[in-house]
Amino acid sequence: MLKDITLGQYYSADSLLHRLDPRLKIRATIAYIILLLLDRNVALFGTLTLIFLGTVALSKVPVAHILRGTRGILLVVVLCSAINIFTTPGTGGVNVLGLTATYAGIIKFAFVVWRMVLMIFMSSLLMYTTTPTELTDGLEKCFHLSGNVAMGITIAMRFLSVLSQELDRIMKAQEARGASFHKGGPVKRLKAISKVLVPLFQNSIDRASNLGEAMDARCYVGGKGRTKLKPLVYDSKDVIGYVVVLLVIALGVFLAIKF
Amino acid sequence: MIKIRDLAFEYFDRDEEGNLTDMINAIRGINFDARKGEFIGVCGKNGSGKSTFARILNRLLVPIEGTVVIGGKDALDEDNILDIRKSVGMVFQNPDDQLIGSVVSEDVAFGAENLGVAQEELWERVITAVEQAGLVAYGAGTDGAEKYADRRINELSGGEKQKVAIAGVLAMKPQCIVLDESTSMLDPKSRLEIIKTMKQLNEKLGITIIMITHMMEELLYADTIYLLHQGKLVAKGRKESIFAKDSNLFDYGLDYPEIVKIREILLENNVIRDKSIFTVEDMVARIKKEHPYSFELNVKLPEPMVEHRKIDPVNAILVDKLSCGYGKKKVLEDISFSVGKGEYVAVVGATGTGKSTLLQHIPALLKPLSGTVYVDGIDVNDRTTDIQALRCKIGYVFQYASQQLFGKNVYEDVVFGPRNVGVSEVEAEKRAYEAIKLVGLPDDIYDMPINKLSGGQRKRVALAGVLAMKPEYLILDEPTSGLDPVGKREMLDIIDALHREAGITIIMVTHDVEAIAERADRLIVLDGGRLSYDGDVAMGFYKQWYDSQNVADMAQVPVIMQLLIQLRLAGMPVDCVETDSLNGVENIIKCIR
Repeated sequence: MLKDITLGQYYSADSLLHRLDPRLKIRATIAYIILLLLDRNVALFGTLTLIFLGTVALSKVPVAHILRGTRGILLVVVLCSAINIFTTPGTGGVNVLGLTATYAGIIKFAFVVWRMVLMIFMSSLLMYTTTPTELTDGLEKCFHLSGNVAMGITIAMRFLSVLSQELDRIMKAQEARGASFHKGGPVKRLKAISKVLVPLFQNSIDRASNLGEAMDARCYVGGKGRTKLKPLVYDSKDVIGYVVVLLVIALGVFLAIKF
Repeated sequence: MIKIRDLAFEYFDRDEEGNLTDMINAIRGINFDARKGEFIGVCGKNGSGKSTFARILNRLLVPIEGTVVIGGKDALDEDNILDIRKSVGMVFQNPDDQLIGSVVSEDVAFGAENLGVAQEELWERVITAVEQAGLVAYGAGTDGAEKYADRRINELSGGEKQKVAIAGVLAMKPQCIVLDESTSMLDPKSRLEIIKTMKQLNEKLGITIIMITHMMEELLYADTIYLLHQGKLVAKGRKESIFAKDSNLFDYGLDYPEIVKIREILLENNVIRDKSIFTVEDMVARIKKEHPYSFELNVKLPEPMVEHRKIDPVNAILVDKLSCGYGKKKVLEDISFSVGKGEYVAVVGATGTGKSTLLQHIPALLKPLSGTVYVDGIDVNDRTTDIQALRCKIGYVFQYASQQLFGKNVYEDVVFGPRNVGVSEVEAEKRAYEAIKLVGLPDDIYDMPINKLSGGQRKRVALAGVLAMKPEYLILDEPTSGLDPVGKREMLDIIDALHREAGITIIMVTHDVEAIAERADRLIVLDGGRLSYDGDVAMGFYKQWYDSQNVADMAQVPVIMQLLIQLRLAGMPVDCVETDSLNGVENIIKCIR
């Protein structure tokens, strides 16, 4: 499952969403997340769901791809929020395994999951439609980061896939020699996993130093004096994009207050 | 263009408190000259100092002694670092560790961006570099290059990634490109493509090429060859003198190119008399010139014959209609084959065709989408199968030793497997000692820390770790990649001994066609996720070429077969389904009138 994580990996396609300015996309995503946190009602969440579906359609990223890339996190979200079912006080409920699941708890659980799913989906859509370089350029401009910090983020994102690949290989190599990560009690499993971390750490450092060397060899000396292949320039579709985002924010705030 | 005098470099080894514990003389007293537009090969076995040398050229390392002048500039002067790195570009060994961008254009532009090239010119440079690096066919036009520039790095093959790295260097408009074993992780076809690309850049653009390698065939493209041994320059010259009979390359851990070995056999048998032949084409032309009457008109290539094998499924690995991949994108499709006990099978195919993916299904490290794998009659994915017993029976040695060494020292690593499967500590210890002996490592290596081992030793320890499980079947993924000729031969000899003396069944993935020709008794060819051949080795190589009939695919067959096929195409009715050099020369002699 680890190697299925496609979070932070660009999905190559030619769509309107891919062509939008990363600054617009980052700001729109943040606005979307804030709207989700404003209130908890069906009208607001329903509208935001529709907006998400519309955005996916515009992005040309297959829904199956998003689901596969996020299912690990979704599982964690569902499990963690499940506690709401039993801890929320309320009248009436169902008995599950000796615990009382209140109706209020079930509703709260549903909303929490709904909210988290939309947040995760929307931010992963940002990742899928924006290359790491564009994303860091955007972050750099939106949050006034220095060039070095931005480059650090680019490299970190690139290394996510390296790490998951490395982890997968080391685990396989250990399994091939009789290690087992799926059997035994929690202590035994934890012990097995700890043996993966040392070589993972060592190899990651080796690979990072190789990459550093390659960057040195290509004259990287920090952000100063660097030019950009794709500098960020707004055009008409971005302006329309901002107008749409503002309208959505207004609608969202209205729904949050009214219902 | 480059002038180096009395170069010396040392590696210092320090303990945790920073005290000097060891000092290794990496390089001593090297003089080196490169003219503008020269193609230079630098060879030497692992640890000879050639990679250190490469890094000094790019000023990634600073020598302790000597002078380095590059393009008229003192490379040791702090102020010239960027100028040096700009004019001497570097392509590294591992395609996965040197690309920075996630899309081709972003990566190719990286160096030029650092140089502060104006934005309008950047695009132009990226497109030109993509064309020059041979990533799109010549004449594909800017459209083709632009389309390519938009591709994701993750989707590219190893060979393409290396070309992207070359393009990234080209976009910086270098005067010189240093390749540090850049082809060693590639399949033969991609390897040849990279070398030919470099040759073109050298001839068309006048870029100086310095190629660090221990692949002897690649050195044949160089104008001048430098031979390093234990940090010293032991020979310098043209290929004629470096590959002369009396140059004792074996003493330096190296070997002669296959074509030179074949030439010597032909010379001994008086088929030819010319000592200055270094390519298959020249050899064919020479034989034709000396023996014109041995060539006829209308000689056709023989049809390849494919036999069907029968196997006893109880004592064998049986892969039945295996497919894997997700969704519409299949990595492997409908693959069936079997390996009987005691066989020595080689698996070939371009990088990225799914060779490792296929073999990882056998010890159930991967689950197939459909199809079944049986080992000695037992379904490996069945819920009731004892998975640990299965993994003891099937040893799997992965390609990268660093990803399968987990202990703090050699002994601790080798004993990892036996401990996992719950044998007694005494037995585990005994197995570890036996395994370390089997791979030919000395007794005093037991408590050596893993990070102190050389590349060749690491590969052996990795193999020992698997042998300590007492496997009946051994799957080896690229056991010789990255090793120099001597290291390669030693590793192959160990594998031979395991096969012959210990009776272990061998399944080996490798790009080394000569090794397969010499040692394996069966060949399996994967092509685009499908099994395209399974059978006799010589016929397999022949069929692989016959099916494409493309000159570019010649690199996939042993050199002697390349020669025989070319002779046959030129009209000599020679039997060309042969992978042994001596037999091949005999076949030629038979045809000479």
